[in-house]
This record gives sequence, structure tokens and C-alpha cells, in this order.
Amino acid sequence: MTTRLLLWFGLGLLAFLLLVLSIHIGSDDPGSLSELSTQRSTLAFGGIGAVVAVLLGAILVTAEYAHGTINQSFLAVPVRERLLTTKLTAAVLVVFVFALLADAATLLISELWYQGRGVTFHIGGNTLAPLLGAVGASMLAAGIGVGVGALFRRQTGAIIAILLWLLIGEGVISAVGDAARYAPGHALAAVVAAHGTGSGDMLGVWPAAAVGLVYLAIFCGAGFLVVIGSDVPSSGD
Amino acid sequence: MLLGLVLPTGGKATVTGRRYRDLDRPLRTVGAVLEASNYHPARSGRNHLRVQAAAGGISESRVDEVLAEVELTGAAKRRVGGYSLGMRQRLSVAAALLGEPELLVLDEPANGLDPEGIRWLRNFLRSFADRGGTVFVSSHVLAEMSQLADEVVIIHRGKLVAHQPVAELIAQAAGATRVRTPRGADLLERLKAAGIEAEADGDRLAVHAPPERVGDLAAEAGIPLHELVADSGSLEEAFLELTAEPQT
Repeated sequence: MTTRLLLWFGLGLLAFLLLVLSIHIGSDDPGSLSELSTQRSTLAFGGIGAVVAVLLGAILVTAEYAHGTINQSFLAVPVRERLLTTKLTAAVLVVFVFALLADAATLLISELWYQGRGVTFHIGGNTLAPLLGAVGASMLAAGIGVGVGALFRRQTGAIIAILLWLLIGEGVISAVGDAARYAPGHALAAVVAAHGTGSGDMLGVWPAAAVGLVYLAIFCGAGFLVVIGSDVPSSGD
Repeated sequence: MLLGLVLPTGGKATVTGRRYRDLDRPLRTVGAVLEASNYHPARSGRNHLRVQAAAGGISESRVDEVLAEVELTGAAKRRVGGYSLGMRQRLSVAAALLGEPELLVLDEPANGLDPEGIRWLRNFLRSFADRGGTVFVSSHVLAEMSQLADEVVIIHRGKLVAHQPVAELIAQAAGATRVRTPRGADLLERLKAAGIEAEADGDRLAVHAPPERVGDLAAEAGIPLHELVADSGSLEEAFLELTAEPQT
């Protein structure tokens, strides 16, 4: 992974936030926009960063296999679990900064649109909770992404698996009923929504965060075991 | 397996008596030159080495030193994706030298190199060894190894079949001594009397004895020699002899 790739991801995320927030705020009537619940859900759009985060986490591992630099990394740090833990930490820290920037952009774009629509934007504890939730969800997503990347090791496979799950798998599992709340995408969405108590289709923020941590532990645990127990390819994909 | 990249099904491989993963600062003990394609193509040569140095806890000042050592300073800011194979191989060597190791391990380093690149590599490795370093090369280019290596280890079907100085192995594979003389029959008789095997082919003989012995016998008998040449062996011949499958 290069700095340039991170910049492109960041720019892409900002552009996407600008687009969706503009459509969301621009198309709603002032009466609805003035409701706190609407303003809260507007700020929850920053949680889109969690999708970018899981992909970034996976790429942080799989890019090394794709370019063959993983063997040089393991030559420098032959204790593989130490290297993988460092990658996990790096992913979480980088995404933390990413998420803060995404939140800042969400706040700024929303404030500007609300001013333009002549509606007061209430920035306070209740409305800001999704911003914190977005940061938490993104950090969990990054860790899960690292685990998925370690499990697959092939970049294309990891990215396709992640996108298929998010686009199709989570939708299919919604048909299961209340148990769908425990699916990874649903759980992270609940972290973003940051509701104190859960509902029929969404966990409360803290149980959701716990579920997210469990998924992080499962994917990283499985992925790390696979990497530790496998031969390192002599060249890239 | 030596570097911990491939997991053995049994046994162990050690470097300075320890497994690679147990070395305190592995890049300062062993420098490895593996595939020349293991780079992020968008990174510059310098940045590739900076990442390696940071990962290995090595001072960034070593980056410019090793770039100079492999004569890549001028191309250091260019993306590795634009390097030739020879340049990428030299970058691999530079990365291996970052930690100033005493041992270099190279896997098929001459693959794909042009003659100039091969000569550069040969001269570099020889000078590294002459300065007291140890070079461990895995290669199937036996002609190159016969010029480069001091000792050779031959592994066939997972078993060690030879571990000897190269000169000794080549001498063992040496062929017959070729002799041309107008008195072939007389020389043949003389050789038989001395217990030496030989085959005649017209005025030429193939004698299974060193040229010095043949020359001495011919001189004692007053037999003129018009040609006396030792067929030198090669590392390839030695390898093929040692790894030949028994005829069934």
C-alpha cells in the first residue's frame, strides 16, 4: 500500500460524502430537516467510511502478497504474529484519522447545506453521537479487513468477498429476522447509529461494538493462523 | 526454509546456530536476495530501501550507502516498475546489504540477467567473500557456479549427495587423457604392462591416467607423442554423474 492509494481512497470518500449528503439534504423538506432525528441520521452518513476501512484493512495485507513484498517483510520481522499485529495496529490508527476526517467533512458539508436551506443545524451531544459511532465502526471494520486479508491473502478474492457480503450477504441475512442484528454489517451499522438501546432490527451501540470486536477477533484469529502456518510465496500474484 | 519463509515438514534449519525467527536482528545477520520481482512498482528504489531499513531497525543513512555500493544512486528516485531486470537485481542486493550482514543468501540470482549483469554479480559476490563474508547461492546454472563458488553442495531428491570444493568435484569428473602418436600399438602395450586402461582409435588413444604418467611412460619407451591433452571435467558432468538414476 502506498501513501498515494490512501490519498485516493480519502478523496473518493470525500467526493462520495459530498454527493450523498447533497442529495440527502437537498431533497428533504425543511420541516423534516429541522427534526433532531433527521440531523442525527444525516451525521450517520460518516459511517460510510467503515466500508472504506474494511477494504483498506484487507489491502494492507493483500497488497504485500500481490507485489511479493511480504517475503521481505517476513525477512525483516520473521515472527509473523508480531508483523500481523503491527499491521492490525497500523490499520486501526490510520483509519482512526480517516474517520475523523470523514466526520469533519460530514459535519462541514451538512452545516453548509443546512445554512443554505435556511435550517438550523443542532450540533450537540445527541446529534454528534453518530460521528463517534462512525469512528468506532471504522476502526472495527479496519481490523476485520486485516483479518479477511490475512485469510484470503489474494487481493482480488478478499475485495470481492467483502463487497459480495456487504452488497448481497447482509441483505440476504436480513430475511432471517432478529438474528440479522448480529451480522457484521448490521452490527457496525448499529455502532454508527449509536443508539443507547437496541430495537428489532438494530442492537444498541455497546452490544453492537462487542459483536464487532468478536468478529474482529474471529477474522484476525483465523487469518493470523493461516498466515503463520503457510509458506510465503516466492513471488507476487 | 533457511529464512523461515517455507515451513519444513521435518527437521530444522539454523543460521549461526539459531532459527531465523529467533535471531535478534535478522537483517543484520543475513542478507537475502530472492525474486527480482518482489517490489511495489510505484515505489522508487530509494523508498523501497527506506521501508526495508525502517522495518529492520536500520539507520536510513545506510540507504544511500548501499545504493552507491550497487551503482544505483542515479536511478534511486525512479519507480522500480521502470527498472530493468538487472537494476532490480542490484536493488535486491542493496536491500540485502542494508544491515551489513556477514552472510548473503541468494536464490537463482543470475536468472534473466544479461552477460554484463552476470559479470557484475559475480564480481560483487567475489569481493564480498574476499572481504570475509559468506555467500550462499542456490543455482542451477552450473557453468556460472563453477566460476564463482569455492564449495558446492549438491542435493538430489531431497538428499545430500555431495559437499566438496568445486575444484575437487571437477577433477573427479575429469575424462581421459587424449594421446596422438605414430606408434599407438607400442604405447598401448606399454600402458597395459603398467596396468593402465586405454582405448585405441586409429592413431589416437584415450588413456585413463593423468597426462604426466602417460608422458613419463612414453618417454621411458622412446615413443614420440604428437598430442597429449587432459580432458577436463566440468561441474555439470560431476552433477550428472552424482545424480544419475541407476539403470533398471
